[in-house]
Order: sequence, then structure tokens, then C-alpha cells
Amino acid sequence: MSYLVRIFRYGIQSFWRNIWLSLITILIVALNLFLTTSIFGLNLLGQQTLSAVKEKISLSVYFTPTTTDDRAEVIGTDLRKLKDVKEIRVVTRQQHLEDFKASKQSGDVALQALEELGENPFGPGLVITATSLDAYGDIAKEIAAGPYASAIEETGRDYETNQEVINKLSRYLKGVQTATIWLTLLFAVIAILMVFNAVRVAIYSQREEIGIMKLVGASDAFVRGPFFVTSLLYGIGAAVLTTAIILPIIAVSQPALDQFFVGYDVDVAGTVLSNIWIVFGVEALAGSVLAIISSMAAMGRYLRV
Amino acid sequence: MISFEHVTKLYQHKNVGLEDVSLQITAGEFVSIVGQSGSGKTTLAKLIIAEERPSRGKIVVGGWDITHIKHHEVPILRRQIGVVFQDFKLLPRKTLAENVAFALEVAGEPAARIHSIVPQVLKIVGLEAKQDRYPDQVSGGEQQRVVIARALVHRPKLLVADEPTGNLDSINAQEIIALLQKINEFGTTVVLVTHNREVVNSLRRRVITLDHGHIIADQKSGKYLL
Repeated sequence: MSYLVRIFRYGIQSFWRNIWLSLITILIVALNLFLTTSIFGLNLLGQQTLSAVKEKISLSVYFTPTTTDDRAEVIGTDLRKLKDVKEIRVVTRQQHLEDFKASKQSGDVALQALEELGENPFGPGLVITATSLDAYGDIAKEIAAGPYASAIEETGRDYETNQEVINKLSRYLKGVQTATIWLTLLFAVIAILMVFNAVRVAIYSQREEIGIMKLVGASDAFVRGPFFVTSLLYGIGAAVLTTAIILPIIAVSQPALDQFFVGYDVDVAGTVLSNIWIVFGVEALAGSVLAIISSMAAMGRYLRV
Repeated sequence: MISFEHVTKLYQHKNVGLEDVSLQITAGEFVSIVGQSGSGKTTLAKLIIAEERPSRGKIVVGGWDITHIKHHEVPILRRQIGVVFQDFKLLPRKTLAENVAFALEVAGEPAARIHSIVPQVLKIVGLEAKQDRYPDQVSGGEQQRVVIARALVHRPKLLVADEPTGNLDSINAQEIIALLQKINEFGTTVVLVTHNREVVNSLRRRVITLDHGHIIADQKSGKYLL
């Protein structure tokens, strides 16, 4: 036990003896972790946006005014049996009317005409969600060719426009993902080089002590251990700093994000904040792994035990 | 205690450190290894503590064949041999007691044992009153005594001293030699590597003389020949 405690004590001593180098190393590793996290954050935002847009897509089928709500319900039950249909929501005639009114501004000509008409001119409808984007076209075709074709007054084909947007977004996200991989590798290499250099300097500044350690019978583990501890402190310190930078940025940007994604189920800030310990854990793990790889390389190169 | 059988040590570009050296040092002996610069004295000391490996031949220390000693076994060997160098090798930011304790700390000794042993060895070398001073606050002779104290903490059966008086005036040098003799009287084998004629002649103990990597004389109660 005292053996491990001493290794940690010497590691912490080494950290303090080169405090400025330690702080600069932490800062640069933190900067790299922050940039990597930001890229992953953008990726997450893109994925959430894509999912939210996909969730919004549906195929609307509206029936003639003579079709009853019960009949729409029966058709809906029947269409649920179709392959690729995920969910069907029935819009009653009344609901259809209310939705129409809600979509118009007060004093609109259409609303005035509706009042003059004195009755509900809308038929019921179905809002169909498919299991995949590609399935909407086939479902629309099957409905148009099916036994209920004569009852259909209008089919909303918004999914065609949305599909184009989604394809563009998907292509953009794929590009972002490729860039993420390369940038993450680049930042990892920078962080590794930084810690490598810090450990190299620490080894150089403690060469006298290391020589004496070896002379009086210190084991390899005892000579190398403190440098591992120092590197771990760099990694964990960088993770703490990165998390400390990320939190206020998210807090500040949350209202703007909420406003931008109003109506969509996108909550990057909420996702990060509710998983803050996981975020910190991942940062600490990434920082520590980078630090350990670097220190091992530096020790292999400069520490002959 | 120490056995060299036809040991040769070649450095880069075939520079000869030692060539076909055979010797036996028995337990409890006090042996001086003498010779001019480049004669192979320090190479011999480094081979004993496994800081260098022989190119040819066989080396046995304390019954342990260290000719092909494994890397991870070196610390175990070093804990059984006390080593004293000319340049002291003390840590300037540690007190004398901390410097001595350091040898026990790195070997994983428990704190209680360290607290018990350190004052004892400092007493043996006569520095118990100065244990809280730093190396630069004591004389060169006292620094060398701290190094000897540090070498003694593992209660070694063998003490290798490579030019321990090299940086000291004659009075301090004699004090260090007297201390080494005292340690030898307690049963520790002492190998003294030196080129100090005065010291060697005053000892009247076994002297092995090296020249260009060869043993040219091995006297049971000898003098400095060169």
C-alpha cells in the first residue's frame, strides 16, 4: 500500500515541480478535447435535427365531406395492415375544421366563407407515419390504387419535398462525420505530442533522481509509476477544464438553440446536461488514454530503466 | 562473494574495458582496485552492480550468477549491494535523513521500518545531529558519509565504493576510509576502487592493480604499484 502511495506522491510532486509545463499541457489537451467534443456536439445536433425532421414527416390523406369519422376509423384500421406503415392517426371532421381555423388568421377570407357556409365542409383524414422515408411513395400508391380511392379528396405530398431536404441533410452529416474522424485523429495526435513532450521534460528534469532511484534498487514500476500518475493528472485535469468550459457554453446557447428548433424535438443542451457525468467520464477517459499512450511512448524513448 | 571468470567487456568500436579478467573476492575481504584512468577500475565496479553486462566470461556475486541477469532482477541485486560514488549522488532538495530514507522508500519498505533504520545508520556514520540539514549545508566528507549511510540501509553484504575520496581533502578522505574499515569489521565485504596512493598504502589490505583492462598484480597485503 505504502508503495502505491509513494508512487502517487512522487507523481504529484513531479506535477508540481513542473507546474507551468503541467498547466500548459493541461490547457492544450483540454483545448483538443474541447474541439473534439464540439465537433461531436455538432454531429449530435445534426443527428437530432435529422431525427426530428424525420419524425415530422407523414403522409396525409383527406376524405370527401360525405365520409364519416367512423368510416375513416375503419379505413385507418385496414391501412394499418399495410407493410411499412408505422402509425396512423385519425383526424376527425371536427378536428380537421379546427386545424383549418387555427391555420388561418382572424378576418381571413376563407374563415368568413366558412362562417357563411354554416356547416363543416371538411371530411375526416388520416395522418400516416411510415417505418422509413422510402416507404411513403409506395404507401401513397397503394392507397390510390386501393378500394378507398373514390373516397379520397386530397393526398398531402409534403414528404416529397421533405425527403429532398432530408437527403441534403444526410449528405451534409456524412461529410461532418468524416471530418469528425479526421479532426479527432488530428487533435488526438496534437494532445499526444504535447503530453509526450511534457513527460520528456519531466524525465529530463528528474534525471538525477531517476539515476539515484536505479542505483539504490528501485524497480521499473517504481521509476515509471510517477510519470504515469503525472500523465493521468494531465488527462483528468484536461477533462475537468473541458467540462468546465462546455457547461457555461451550453447554458448560454440553450435559449438560442431552443428558439432555433422551436416545434422540433431537439434538445442538445438537455441531453448533455442530464448526462454530464457521462460526458465528464468520457472526457476523463479520453484524456487519460491519450496521456497514458504519450507517457508510455516518452518513457520508452527517454527513460532507460 | 565475488567471482570473475575470464571476463571481457568491450565497448563500442571494440574499445576494451576489461579483457580476460579472473578474480575471486571472498566474504569479509577489504579489496582495493587500483589503476590509472582508463585501466578498467570503474568498468569492474559497474559489472559488479550490473550497470554493465560482460561481453564474455562469467560473473557471480553472492552466489548469484549475474552474467545474464534479467532486467527486472537488477533492482533485487542492487538492494543487496551498497554503492558509493565519487560524486555523492545526493538529492539536493531532500534532507540528509530523507536522502537515506529514499533508498528504503523506493524499495517499498514500510514507513515504520524506515523511521527505525534511518537514525541508526546516520548514527553509525556520525551524522545523527545533522539529519535535518540539506546536502549543501554540510561538508563534502559529511555528504560522502550520508552516501555511505544510504548504502548501508539495506544491510548489504557487499559495499562497492568507486573513488569515494576523489572529491575530498586528505583528512576527510581518511575519515571515509576509516568508516569503510569499520563497516568491513562488522562483516561487510568492501571493494574500494581508487587511484589514491596514500589511501591504498595506509590500508595494508589486498590490492588488485589493473592496467589497460588487465590485472597486472594481485597482492594480499599490497601497496599502490603504479
